[in-house]
Amino acid sequence: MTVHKAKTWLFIGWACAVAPLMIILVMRQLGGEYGNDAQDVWNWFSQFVLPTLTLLIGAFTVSAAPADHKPLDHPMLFWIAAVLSLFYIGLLYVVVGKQVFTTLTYQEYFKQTALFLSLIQAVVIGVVGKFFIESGR
Amino acid sequence: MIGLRTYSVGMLLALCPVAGLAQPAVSLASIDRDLSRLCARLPNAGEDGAALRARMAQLWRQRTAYLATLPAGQRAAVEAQPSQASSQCLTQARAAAAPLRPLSHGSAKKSNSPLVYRDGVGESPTAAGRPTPARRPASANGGGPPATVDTSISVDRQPVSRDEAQLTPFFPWPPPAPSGRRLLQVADLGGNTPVNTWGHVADRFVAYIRGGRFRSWGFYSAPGGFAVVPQIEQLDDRTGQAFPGDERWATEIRIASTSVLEGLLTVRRPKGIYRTIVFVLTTDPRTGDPVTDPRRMMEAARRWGISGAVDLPASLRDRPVTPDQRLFALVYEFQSPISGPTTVNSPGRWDIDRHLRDAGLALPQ
Repeated sequence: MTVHKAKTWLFIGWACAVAPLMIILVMRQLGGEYGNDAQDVWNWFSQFVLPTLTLLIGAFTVSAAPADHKPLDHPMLFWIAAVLSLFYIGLLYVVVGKQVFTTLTYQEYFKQTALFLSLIQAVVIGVVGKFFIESGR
Repeated sequence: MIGLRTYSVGMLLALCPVAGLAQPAVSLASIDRDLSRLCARLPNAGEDGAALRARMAQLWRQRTAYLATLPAGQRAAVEAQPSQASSQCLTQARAAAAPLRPLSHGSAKKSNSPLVYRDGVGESPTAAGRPTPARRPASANGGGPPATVDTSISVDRQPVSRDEAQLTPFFPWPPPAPSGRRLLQVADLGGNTPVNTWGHVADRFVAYIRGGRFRSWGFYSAPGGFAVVPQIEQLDDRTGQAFPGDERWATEIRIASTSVLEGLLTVRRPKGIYRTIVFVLTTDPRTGDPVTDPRRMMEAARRWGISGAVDLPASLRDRPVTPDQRLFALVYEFQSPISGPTTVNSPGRWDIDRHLRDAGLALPQ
């Protein structure tokens, strides 16, 4: 697998996985689930989706390098990034899916889930960033 | 090591205020626990009943005095915690502590027994033990009645006889605006025997409620009569019909599935629809204003059908039915989404006749 292909897969995977999540939240807001104050929901979404997505978009579009067409030097790093991303996005879906059944208010629920999601997100960004740095050399 | 020790001491110091907060709650809990024990013994106390009531009155005064010493914020926090004693028990304790006074008006003429004033008829379980706020003068609302009924405070002071005091008062009075109501005739309840006394009416009510396959109900006192409240039921949100089987009595919201996939496909969180039917024989057929605290009202409604007396006390059964007494049914529909605000539908989403029919309590047309 070439570096370019690996970057493309990561980017497309993230974009495709996150889009339905966004649609679900939009539908819930329009359905009145979040009342008149959906700010906390979108703060949560931005906090846990945008950093990695921005990194991927940036790396994919800006840092096009001559090395892009070379085969991956560290394919294991790519697979770790992919699996971690999958796990993280899956966790976001679990959090959003369980929200309607929780006895907490949605504000409190999202606040509580932010505690563990931030830790996992830090690891995901670290691994994805490492992959881009290594593949750009 | 020093750092770790400093951290531990810091943690202990940080926890101190929490411990300080928890300490009063423990002593309140012990009072409530004692009250609960006494309440459990009361029905079979026989001749010891007076002594038990005296002890309950003493505990009630301790409770009230204790709560009064707490700062407002802390008192609210303590009161927000679930009590060890049931609402019925707290009401009994409060009644035991209320001073006996002869009454010189109203329904006193209808009873041969000495009368007492029961303070806080409309008290909710969680409000029990709070110092009763002073009633607002009528002029505070421009001379008219208050705009809404606050179920957390005493609504009315009803004179009740010693006999009636054997029943827990149905709170509040007048009852808050229902989702539906209907004036009934004794003949509506079925049966062929003549209805001359409260006991006859109570028997008709019980037979009628049994016909609806209700498992539990509670008798409460009402001005110049009594109220019977069957157990609260859970309804299907779409049809307004009670769920079949045991789910009819479930207090937890019925959810088909709590899987992640189901959750992702759910736009709005599920809500429980509950129904309470109240049958009343009274000389005061008023209904009040809308409920201001539906959550508290629903908490109380959940207990109505499983607390109260299971039958009319013998001393009330022989009382004659008088022409000024009215018989009516009230239906309260509650909507309670998971972690969302509870509301009382007033007017209701479904007609009262439909509710009664669905509950197996169909009336003749």
